[in-house]
Amino acid sequence: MSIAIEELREAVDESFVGIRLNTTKVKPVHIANGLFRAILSETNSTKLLHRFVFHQKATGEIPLGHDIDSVISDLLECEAIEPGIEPDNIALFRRQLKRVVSADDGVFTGQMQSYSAGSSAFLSKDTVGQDAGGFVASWLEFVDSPLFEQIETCLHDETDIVSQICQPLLDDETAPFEIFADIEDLKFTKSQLKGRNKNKQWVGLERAAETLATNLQEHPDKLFRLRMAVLFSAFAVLRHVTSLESYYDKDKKNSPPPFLLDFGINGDLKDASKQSYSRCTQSIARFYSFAFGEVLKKTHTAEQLTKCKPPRYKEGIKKKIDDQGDNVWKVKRDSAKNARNKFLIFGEAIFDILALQAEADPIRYFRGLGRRIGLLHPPKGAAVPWFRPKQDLVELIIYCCIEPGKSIELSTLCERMYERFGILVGGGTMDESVLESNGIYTWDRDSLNENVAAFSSSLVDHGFATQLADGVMKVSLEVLV
Amino acid sequence: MSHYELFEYIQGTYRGANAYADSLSDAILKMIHIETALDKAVSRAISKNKNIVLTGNPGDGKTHLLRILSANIKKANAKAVVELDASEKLNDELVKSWKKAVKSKVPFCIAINEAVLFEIAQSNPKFDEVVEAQRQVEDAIVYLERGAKASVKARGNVVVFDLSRRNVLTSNIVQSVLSKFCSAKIPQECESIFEIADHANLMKSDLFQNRLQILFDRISRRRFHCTLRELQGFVGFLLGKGLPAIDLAEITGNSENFLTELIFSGDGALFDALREGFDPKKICHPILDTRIVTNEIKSNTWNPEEAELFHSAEVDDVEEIERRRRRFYFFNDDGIKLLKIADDADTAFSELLNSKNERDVLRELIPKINDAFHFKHANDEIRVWKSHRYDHETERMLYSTFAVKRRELEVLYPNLSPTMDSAFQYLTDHLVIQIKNESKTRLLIDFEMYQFLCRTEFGASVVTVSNHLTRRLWQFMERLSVNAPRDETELDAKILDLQTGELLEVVIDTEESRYISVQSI
Repeated sequence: MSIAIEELREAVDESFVGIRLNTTKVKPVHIANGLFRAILSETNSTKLLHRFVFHQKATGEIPLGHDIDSVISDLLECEAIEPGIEPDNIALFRRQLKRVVSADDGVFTGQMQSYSAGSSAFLSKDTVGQDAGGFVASWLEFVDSPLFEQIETCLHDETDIVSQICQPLLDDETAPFEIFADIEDLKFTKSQLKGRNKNKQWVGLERAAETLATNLQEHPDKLFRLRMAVLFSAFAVLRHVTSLESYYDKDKKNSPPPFLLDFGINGDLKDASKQSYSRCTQSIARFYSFAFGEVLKKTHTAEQLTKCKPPRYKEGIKKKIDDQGDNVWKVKRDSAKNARNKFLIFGEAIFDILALQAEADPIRYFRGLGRRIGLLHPPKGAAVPWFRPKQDLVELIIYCCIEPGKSIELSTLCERMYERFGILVGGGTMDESVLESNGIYTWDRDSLNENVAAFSSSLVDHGFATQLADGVMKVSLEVLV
Repeated sequence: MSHYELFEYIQGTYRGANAYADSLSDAILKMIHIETALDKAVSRAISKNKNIVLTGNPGDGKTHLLRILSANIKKANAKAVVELDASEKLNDELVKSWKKAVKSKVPFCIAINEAVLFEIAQSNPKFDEVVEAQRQVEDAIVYLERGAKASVKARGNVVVFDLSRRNVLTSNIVQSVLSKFCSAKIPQECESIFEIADHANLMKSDLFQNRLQILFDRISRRRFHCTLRELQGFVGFLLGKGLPAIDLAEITGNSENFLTELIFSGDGALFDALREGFDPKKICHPILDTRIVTNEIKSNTWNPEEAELFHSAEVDDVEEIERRRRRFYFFNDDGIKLLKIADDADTAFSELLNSKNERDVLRELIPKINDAFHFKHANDEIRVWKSHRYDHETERMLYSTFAVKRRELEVLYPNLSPTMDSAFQYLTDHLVIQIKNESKTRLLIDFEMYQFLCRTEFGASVVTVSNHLTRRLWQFMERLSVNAPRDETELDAKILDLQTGELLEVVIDTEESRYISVQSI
């Protein structure tokens, strides 16, 4: 019996994960489109908008119906534009508007349209990287989070400037939409999200979402609210992906690997943070190996697997890569002969072949998204990244950890960061033991202390905190004035 | 008390040997104490049976003041409870003691670090006195028009003096510290050490004090907060580097240890601030430098005479020239020219803060704020920009549908609450601009922000720079956007491409959902 890895992957993602981690191109704007359309359970026809803004492909070719004459003609016909406007100005407007609504580089030909906007009229049927947003929407609804309702309200509000500028190009023709996998159907939901023994990480994220919603309620800018909600969703996805192993592996039940954030100037904690990243990717690999093994159990016996032809990710792979995959399979097959958990070993083989042959694997998904939301540094390149968050993420963390009008001490903030996000900066009482228990040793107490100092300095610089006496720092949202 | 106890105290100030007021003898305490309006304000509050809370940072002088005034406090009310240092007790003990005093209707006077007060207030939300104390700390600053005075008084029976709001670097406090320290009797073995005896004399010079005060005012306007302890340590350093006489004797006379060098060479926050603020050694001027190098400076322009230079320097001796510039600044009548040559943002910021005309302030700031968003088309209104993307990359496009006119804005200045205003001086180190009567739309302009806005002329902007200052500007835009006109039948949108500089104006009929005009500006 042959094994189709691509199908196996789909099965794992659908029943164990809830998200297809099958692209390295996932961007926060994809999360946004996926999140928003899942919340509203609908998409919109963005035909006229797309024709207007997508004036040419990267090659210079103008798609059918997107030429300026056709566009102007149709706009005049539906009275979306006054006659007599200079075509040159319209051409300039098209270019500029594209940069506005495709600020995240999410608008391309065909169905690949995810708009940097914030109302229901922009929600498209894009298929790139949309699952993650849908998953988070499903979770927010499942836990009845106030953040769900807040996002919904924002999407129905078309008074934001982007919606206003695009108004004549938008229509209200909607179509129903269903997400990839409902959270209620996932295998981990019953054990991790229900009942008395809810997974601590998810409880933390739930509280973070609640605090975020309370803070965003006060914020005057709707687009800002959506931006923060999307950033939170992207972070939640990264946290989820690195926690999968802990859901299913009894030994690791309550300890997903931490994200050790490096704020230092001298790079003292860089290596430890890189190790933290490595622990995350190892956890993802172990989970998938386990999950593939579980799925294989249902379709094959161990005996059948040892006799199987080396599987491929899909047809049409280059021969050299095929050969590499074959070698992996053979080595694992031999080591499985005397192993206790044969399915785990075959699962490892499947994952390794996937990593070799697929365009994207879950680890590269994690890295790509982590870089694009400013969590991982450097933003590009082959070097092993580490956790070095940008300003936006620091702001998000504050919004998720401190209620409006409240002030807390830095030590309390550090505890909440771990409790809600699995984040360490070195200022929490449990940080050292968490690092050690996750096999992260390239740090010392001085480097942790310096990191906390750099973190608190960053909070003060950005107006989130004031330094009180005795080393106590008061953190709150509104200290700028 | 021995003649030299004060001198020994002074020698210990730089290295923090005398860090804690509670370890000093009463005699020393009285000797170094500088009576200010704060003493009177506390005494007045005590006479009215108020609970007194002295808070602030370590080194601000809380315990010192309470010790000095404890006799007066007891005289006013023998049963008054005085807690000299809250950090010596557990929080629960403090709260218990305070509640007992409240119940017995006797004044409770406490010196407490702000952090401890904060913790106690958080964990005792129903204890009115401590909650009111925390409120007074948080509401210590009120923003008003120039010349207005805060009128909201303290509530209940608690009066708070937050010494972290006090500007210790005011001329009366600085001169008092200099006067006391420079008058200290010097032990015989130190009399021949230049850095002690002669520095003490040099520091009495009016010109020196004036020039030093200019530097202190500059750093105060940069929001540098100095504690009394730091100021004492500073003066202590100038009088012998905090070294024992025997060590100082070995290095005495070294040009590196001259008074004007020591001002810029010590360790600590105050010295760092002075180095960043203005260092005369960095100011070059061909005519002044020539005179400084060749010593063609009239004798009668030196004040005091002892500070005069005696010979010319080598032209290529850069270190010597730099030392001379410092000396020239502090001790020569023409030394102020070095500051004028600097003609920097500090001076301009000081002028902005002192400007009496709100219109002038706005006329200066509005174009700078617009510049920060690459928009040079308006000087009398602030265009309210937005940009939106979901990742963290730099904005490329800005868009706007309205502007806030100058006449809709007001300029407000920080003022201390009435209680604290009567007790100490607060140097205005920032202002805020906001839509009239809408405090939520505030933009704080301190020195750092002003410096950034001055650089917009040279390309600094919210796009080229990403830091807490640009974040503040974006927040300001977000707050202003609440005032966007709603339900307009015509929307006038500006779209700015920051890369190409192209500015487009698009008018939209919102009722008919139609583009009325599209024009390149």
